[in-house]
Amino acid sequence: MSNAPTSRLNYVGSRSDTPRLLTLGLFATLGSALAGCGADQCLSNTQFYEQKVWAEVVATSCIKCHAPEGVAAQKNSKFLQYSQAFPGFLDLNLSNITEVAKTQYDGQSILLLKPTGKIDHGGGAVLAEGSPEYNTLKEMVKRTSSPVSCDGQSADPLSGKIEILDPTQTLRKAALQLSGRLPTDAEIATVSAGGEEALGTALDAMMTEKAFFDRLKELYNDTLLTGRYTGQGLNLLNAADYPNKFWYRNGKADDGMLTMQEQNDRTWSDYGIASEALELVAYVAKQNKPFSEILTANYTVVNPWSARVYGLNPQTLGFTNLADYYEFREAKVSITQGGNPLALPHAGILTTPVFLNRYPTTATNINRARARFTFKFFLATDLLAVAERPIDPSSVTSLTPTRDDAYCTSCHKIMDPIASTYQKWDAAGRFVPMATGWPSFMPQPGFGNAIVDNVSQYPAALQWLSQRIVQDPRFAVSALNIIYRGIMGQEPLQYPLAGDPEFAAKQKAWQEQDKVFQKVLKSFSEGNQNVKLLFKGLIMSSLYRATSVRGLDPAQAEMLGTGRYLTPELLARKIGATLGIRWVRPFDPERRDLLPTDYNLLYGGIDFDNVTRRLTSPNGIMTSVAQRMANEMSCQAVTWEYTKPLNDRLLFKYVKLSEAPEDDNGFPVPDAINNIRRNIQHLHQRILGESLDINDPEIERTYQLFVKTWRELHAAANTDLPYECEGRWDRETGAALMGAQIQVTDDRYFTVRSWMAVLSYLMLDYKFLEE
Amino acid sequence: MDRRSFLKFTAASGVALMSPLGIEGSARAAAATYGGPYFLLIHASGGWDPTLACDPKGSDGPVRINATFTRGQIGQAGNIRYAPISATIGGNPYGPQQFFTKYQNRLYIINGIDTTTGNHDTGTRAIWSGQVTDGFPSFAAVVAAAKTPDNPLGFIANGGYETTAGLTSLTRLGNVDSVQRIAYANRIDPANPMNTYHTNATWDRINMMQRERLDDLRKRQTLPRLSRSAGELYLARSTDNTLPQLAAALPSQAMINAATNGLHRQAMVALAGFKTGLAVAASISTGGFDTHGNHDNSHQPLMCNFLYGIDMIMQEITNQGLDGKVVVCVGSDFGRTPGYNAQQGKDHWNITSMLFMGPGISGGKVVGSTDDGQKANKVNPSTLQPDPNGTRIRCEHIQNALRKLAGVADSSAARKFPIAATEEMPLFT
Repeated sequence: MSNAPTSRLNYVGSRSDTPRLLTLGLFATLGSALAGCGADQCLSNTQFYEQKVWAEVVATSCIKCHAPEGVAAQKNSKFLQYSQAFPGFLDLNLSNITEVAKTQYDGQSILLLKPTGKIDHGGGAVLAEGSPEYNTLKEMVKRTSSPVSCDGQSADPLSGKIEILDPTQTLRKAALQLSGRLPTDAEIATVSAGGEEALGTALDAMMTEKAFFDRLKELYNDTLLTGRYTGQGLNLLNAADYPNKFWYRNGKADDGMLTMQEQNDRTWSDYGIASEALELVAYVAKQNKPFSEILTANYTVVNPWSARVYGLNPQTLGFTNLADYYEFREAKVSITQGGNPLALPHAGILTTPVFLNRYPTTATNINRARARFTFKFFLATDLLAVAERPIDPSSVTSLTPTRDDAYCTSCHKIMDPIASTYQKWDAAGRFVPMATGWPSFMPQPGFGNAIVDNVSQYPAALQWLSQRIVQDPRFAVSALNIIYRGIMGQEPLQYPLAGDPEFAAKQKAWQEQDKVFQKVLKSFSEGNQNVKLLFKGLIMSSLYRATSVRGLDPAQAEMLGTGRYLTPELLARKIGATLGIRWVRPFDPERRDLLPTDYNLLYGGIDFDNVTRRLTSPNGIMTSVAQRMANEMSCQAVTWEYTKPLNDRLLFKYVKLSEAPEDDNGFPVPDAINNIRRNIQHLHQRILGESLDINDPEIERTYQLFVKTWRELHAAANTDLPYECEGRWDRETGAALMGAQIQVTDDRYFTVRSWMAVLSYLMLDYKFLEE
Repeated sequence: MDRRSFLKFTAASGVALMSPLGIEGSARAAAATYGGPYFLLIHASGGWDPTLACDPKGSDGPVRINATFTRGQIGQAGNIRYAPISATIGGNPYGPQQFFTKYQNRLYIINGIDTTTGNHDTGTRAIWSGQVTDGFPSFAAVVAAAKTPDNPLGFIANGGYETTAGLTSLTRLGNVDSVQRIAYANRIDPANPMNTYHTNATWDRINMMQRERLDDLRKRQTLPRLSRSAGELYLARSTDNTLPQLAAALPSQAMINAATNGLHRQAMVALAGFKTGLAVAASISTGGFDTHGNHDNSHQPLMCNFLYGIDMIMQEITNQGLDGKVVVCVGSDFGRTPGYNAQQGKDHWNITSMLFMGPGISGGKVVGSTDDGQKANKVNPSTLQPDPNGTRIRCEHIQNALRKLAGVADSSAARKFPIAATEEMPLFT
């Protein structure tokens, strides 16, 4: 038996530090190993299943029909194999195949008889006897009666090989990520003293802030893409269903002649409707409700404006501030049909107008797209990926294979019952309970092997569906995947395909990722499905915190670290958090950030409509945007800092503008040099999150930039400062300073532009632009 | 700092200037202006129906594949058989007849390609990378990396298959007017070279020291994700002098908006990139081809407009003085089923076609075919003639041949992502 070490992660410290061992216990130990065969060739039963049976046979030939919702399962097949969207799918599958392999007919396992068509098999003969796939199954059958274990495979392969951020460094990274701010001094002190436990507590506190819920909405917007309808919410509603739609004009439709008050009311009514799905996600999180309520909520959420659109009285909904555009409350909505109110059968996100319009249907699509996206968003399953495996057209005999051929029906049998659950919601997202004409060839509303068998329940079929989706283990996986993508900036690793030249290393990386995922999902399940536990679990894990590895194949370390180029939204917040001032649109009364607006697409952002996939790697255009940002912000920040009293400064706490590194005769000024270096050290910490010793080579490099720039400017003897960079404006509000408030209008010591160079340099840094 | 100054600076300072990604070539080699050939990849997103273009079947064959025309109505332009469909575009009829007649001597058509998939993402990946494996790089990324290793603007994309696998940078241009402002990051007013944030010497110093720091950081990095991202940033930054060139060559946003065809609009930006010698390859795309319902009424005008767009692009290539320098490749996710479904739509079908034009392409040829049921006929892998004992043409054959055509098959970028194929096909020789 192995004694897999529990301490296998090291904190990264300052460069001269010897890494300390950390006991986190984030991972489970590897399974025990028993005596068996030689180490080079030996595969235990588990490994044989994972590397051979799953990768080469089940994933390519069986899963299409033998998934739990597949054709075979519907015919009560005992052979059930789960896709990787199911947590722990490999263990489940091995257990199942081991049992099935033991069932024999005429002395031979049905695991061999059925796929070769020697006994009744719904899919016919799919493997030839003697083929490599057949031989793999044959070996699996043999192993079920004579299990193989292997020596020497018990050691934790990552033991002592990973360095991770310490708790305070993790706190900074998480604070920027979750709350768009730097940690406070008090938070740093607490976490520094309290270690991992204090870090967890600090994360809990951060996840009560408004910025966190805004971030959560961003993540779900990147998935649901309902931001497509920002500013157009009211257009999604039918005035007959919602006679109060134009409440702000006493029911009169817009004619382009709105008063300012009416325009304001329209704007926030639009916002309430367009953001309904995302606000529901945030509401469930804010109330610490089970995350399943994003689908099962028998209510929607409204702000005071959208409440009126729906004909509700905001005063009765428990708002704390009726003037707060961003306060959302639970509400049950009725539509008006035939002059009578008709209560909507709310099913969380699925029945919001914005979701139904973002994923519309047509008379010919018959809700299949909605079904596909339901699987994709909430069941972590890409239905079309079932068709990803090589298919052979010569085996397809039908001219309409989606109806008639097993290649296609295997998907459609899964998809079409869900499409039918949407049948009482029309193409425009209207609830039409009395609608008829649902095609007779479409199946009853259902999910998996369950169906809605009472026609009178069809109008509430989405509520029925929601309850079943959230009981499916893939629902939690889908939420985890969405959050993983959001905070890691990467897709979760997929189980490698058979034939991948790096299969072994990639499989190990996937296994390590899976261990973390399983742990996080367990915490989520045991924690009443509070979505914050998904964030916390990932952030506390080595996946998020890893900074380096040693002695590992690169493919085996692929799951570690973030290394994402920040989105326009994240970088905009980071600029504000570190400099204390934001990069905003000039002459914009709303002072909107430039990155998510003017530079959004150029900086790799999305518009939720035509461009829906973020660029996660920089290109020449994006780096040029960053250069523009760095120069404009350094121009503003230096003089703004020096118009403030020392105690109010964020960036230049340790040095005066008059402190130059050399005197007029070229002799060094030791005190000034010390202060300049001390401030550079502070800037590295504040802007880049680097805790460097004063003698660190990076401090020296930055100092050299400062001093070389200073010498250049001093030699040129030009003290002019660009007008735009002078201390004439309050950079937090954009207001012009008056009289004595105006300071630093020249560069008489040649230090303003030297510090501008340092700030530009730091804001162009990898550690500033990426996380 | 322009690229030449940058190279001098690096030589003087002794800074090693190695490609961050292990791709071949040095910055000195990359500094030479690239003169072509350029590669324009045009993607019909959603899965087009080649039987409405270059692989027509008719309604009166053993299988009623095309409802709107018979076999006798199928047109012929040189060696190319085309579907007799048409749409009104700009007040005039336009369709395969106009397109194939005009380009019959320049077109190289491959019919009967087996993509082996009915999945949109996988099909798109297979067509443009040659592999179904997730993460495999686009041909455009391979050729951009191989031809100009340290060039951050080598691959411009506006749809289609965009995966670079870390070989090179991917650039989306978006609103081109904004490019003017960021092209001159050190100028307070982009139009005034005298009004700068930092002196030019200081700005050069900032960038050089940043590059040194990034290079040091990258060398110390042991996590593949972080190493890759640092390398990508390193590569993307060698654009100091090239972005103004590109900005100067770009048409204005108003000019782009004035073009009536979406593909043409996208190509205007790509061709400007080619003209400056900065971009090597570009991927553009137009969608709507996933016609599961009402196929004929939806797909036929789309196909006509698509071919019209390619025609516009070919004219733009001439107008930009790029004749004989641009290889145009046209493809889609896969094809569409031979029969119609209950909604008169056509579903996914793994057999498709591709079109090619440009330098090194022998025009007037059609290779590969499908039978009356629109199944791929096998070809002899050496002669490319129909051969029941041969093999189907697959994406890996085409992409391996494209790599050879481009002269990048032996580049380290291509070797890093070898395309597995059981045999080679001399498709472009």
